[in-house]
Amino acid sequence: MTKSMKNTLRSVAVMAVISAVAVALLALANAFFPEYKASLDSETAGMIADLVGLEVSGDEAYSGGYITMDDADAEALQKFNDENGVDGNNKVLVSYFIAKGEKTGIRVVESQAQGYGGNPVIIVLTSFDKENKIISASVKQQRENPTGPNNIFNADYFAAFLEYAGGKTAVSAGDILAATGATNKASVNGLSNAVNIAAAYIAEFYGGGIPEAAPEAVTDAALIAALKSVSAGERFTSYPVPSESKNAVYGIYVSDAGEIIVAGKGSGWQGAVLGLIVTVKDGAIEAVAVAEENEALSDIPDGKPAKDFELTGANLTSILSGMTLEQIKATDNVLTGTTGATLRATGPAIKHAVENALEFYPQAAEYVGGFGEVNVWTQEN
Amino acid sequence: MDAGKLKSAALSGILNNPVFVLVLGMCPTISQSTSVTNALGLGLATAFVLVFSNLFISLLRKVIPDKVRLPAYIVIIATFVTLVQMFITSFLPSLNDSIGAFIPLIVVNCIILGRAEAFASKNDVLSATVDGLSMGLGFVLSIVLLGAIRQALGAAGLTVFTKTAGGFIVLGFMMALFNALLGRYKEYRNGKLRALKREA
Amino acid sequence: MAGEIITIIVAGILTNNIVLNQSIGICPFLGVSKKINSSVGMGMAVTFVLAVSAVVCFFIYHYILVPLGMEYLQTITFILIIASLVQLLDIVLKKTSPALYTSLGVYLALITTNCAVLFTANYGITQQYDLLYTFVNAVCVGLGFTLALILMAGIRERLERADIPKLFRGFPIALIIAGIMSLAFTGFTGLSFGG
Repeated sequence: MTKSMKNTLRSVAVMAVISAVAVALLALANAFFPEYKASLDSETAGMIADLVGLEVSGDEAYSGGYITMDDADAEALQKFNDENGVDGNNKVLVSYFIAKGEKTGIRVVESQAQGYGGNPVIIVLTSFDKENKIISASVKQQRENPTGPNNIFNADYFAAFLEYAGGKTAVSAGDILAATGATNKASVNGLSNAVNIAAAYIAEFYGGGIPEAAPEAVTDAALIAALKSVSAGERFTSYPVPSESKNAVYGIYVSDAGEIIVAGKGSGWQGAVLGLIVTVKDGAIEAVAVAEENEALSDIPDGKPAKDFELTGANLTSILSGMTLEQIKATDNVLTGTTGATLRATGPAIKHAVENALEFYPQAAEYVGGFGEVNVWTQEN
Repeated sequence: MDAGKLKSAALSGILNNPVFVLVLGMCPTISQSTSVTNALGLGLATAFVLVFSNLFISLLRKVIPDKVRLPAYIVIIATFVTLVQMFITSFLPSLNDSIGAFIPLIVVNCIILGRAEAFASKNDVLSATVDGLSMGLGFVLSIVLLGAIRQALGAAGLTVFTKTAGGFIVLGFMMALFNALLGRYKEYRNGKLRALKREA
Repeated sequence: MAGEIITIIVAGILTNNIVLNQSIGICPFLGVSKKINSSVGMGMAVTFVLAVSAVVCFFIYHYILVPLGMEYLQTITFILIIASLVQLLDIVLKKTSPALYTSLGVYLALITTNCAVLFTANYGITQQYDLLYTFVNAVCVGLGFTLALILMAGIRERLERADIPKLFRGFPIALIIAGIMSLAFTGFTGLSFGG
């Protein structure tokens, strides 16, 4: 190899190494700055309450079960986002449902899109009515750069945007620019992409777009154990929850002994899903088991003690057995001596889960019967 | 380590002030000295990049072939600029609103490439780092001083000084003043040296 | 659309002049504007780099960085593109126009560090300009830069013969003049073509 070739090779090699190190370092740093994770905390609840015009305050809405977090199937959501996202950052994070009060039925979708570029993204809360039309929107997060006087996120311009968007099922960036006089195209595109994917999500998931699910065998060992603890059966069939009850009912099960068992859903700390199986005897609660609970204890704000109530079927049964639906409805927190942030959320969550299960029971038999003869045990499970 | 070299590197921020003496890094100096906060933000970001790029360029000075000197320096500097940018967009959003568009421009700030070429690529790591610190601090002080003057004048009702035009004018006067003071100081120091020599 | 393009042109050159209104690209502005001839040459070279780099960066950003989700590499890639373009221009000019090459001297390489070039590339991304607008904007920024350079050179050539206090000679007086010119250009912001 000649000397000059050696030199050139050396130059190229050094450049390649330096560039590789630089890119790796930046990729690492990019991953380090955490991606936003949606969760129903009191701040979000407050924003949703303001957006929707709830008659109660954010805190009350949060703990009073006014707002629930929809439990969309993660895979379906991922598929939807991949198909509908305009850019790598455009996706729907989660949706919330107004379950109580005057504004029941309104759905709020939290979606994000890329504005000027990179991290952090624009995060928007959009509220939809029952006909899947936009009611209003508010911005949960935006750090648009550079900002300027004609920025869509300035109060006057955003108000003009809301006027334009109300009642629509989709928005267009060009129209927004024309209607509001905003000039920062990157931000307007981001806003429009976020709102549009929210609208598409509503149309697909809550406009009757989800395919009808079929009953299937329960295979999860923990769930089987929980069901067994409250029933005489050995094997269980899980029925799909009707969409209008998706926020109240966690699951509907039938044992091979013919018992129909309902699990109700509650929303715990930071929107964590709480699924409680409740069996009824003579109009009162017989036993309770935990189908799912995943309150993230590590997220408790400092200074508050961790929850000192162990969420087990046995503990719950001892508190709740013998109570009727009316009695449950009359309490707002089934756990007495509430201390700790989790407890503030857990108590009402338990109440709602149990309440929801009890309320669904009367129609459970008819609903299950509607599926006709179902036998999911075709092969050895 | 040459103590004399270290000392001169440490003082370079004042004696060889990047803004008033070397006339480098003009762009951010005028556009970002509209207020003390902006000046401080951009100044510190620049200083951060300057210190670390000087450090790494000095570290790698024997490894980088002469042919690819410039692109290599640019990649190193750009990496630190991007890191600063990530930090500011994530943790200092209000600062990002005002100076965000100018952070990427740090990579073309003549000071950084200038010092890399003139000093860091020819000296040991410690001196280069000290030089970076000194120049960086010198830059921060100059731009903050300008920012304070412009902000004060603007608050006193002379809004022309917070605009670009005023920036040019204030900088021009400051430069003249600074050089006058520096000239006087140098004369004084040389006079003392001469006096010492006569006594010897 | 025509109205928008006219706005971009007028803004680039007059009302939002990159040097005199936005104070970007000052280093070369102060360095090269001593003679009118070299100012024109420099202005043309900068305009060329501006236009080509803005377009190339546009493609790289939208067709490589965004699909790969690697927007954090924007600064590094853009500046490397600009540096490469300037290197290319260096080679081309040496062969085709040696006179211009020598008159520019070291300032040719310094186009890489001209804030205006990187700023304009970034600006096209922020404003989400499409290809046409990116190109037009870049060319007009270049023309505005050239205009500022020529005006400054004209004044400074005359200043050579004036008697200026020692302290202000060189850069300080240049800056003050730039300030006055900037004031004059602010007057243009009243312009609009109903765009």
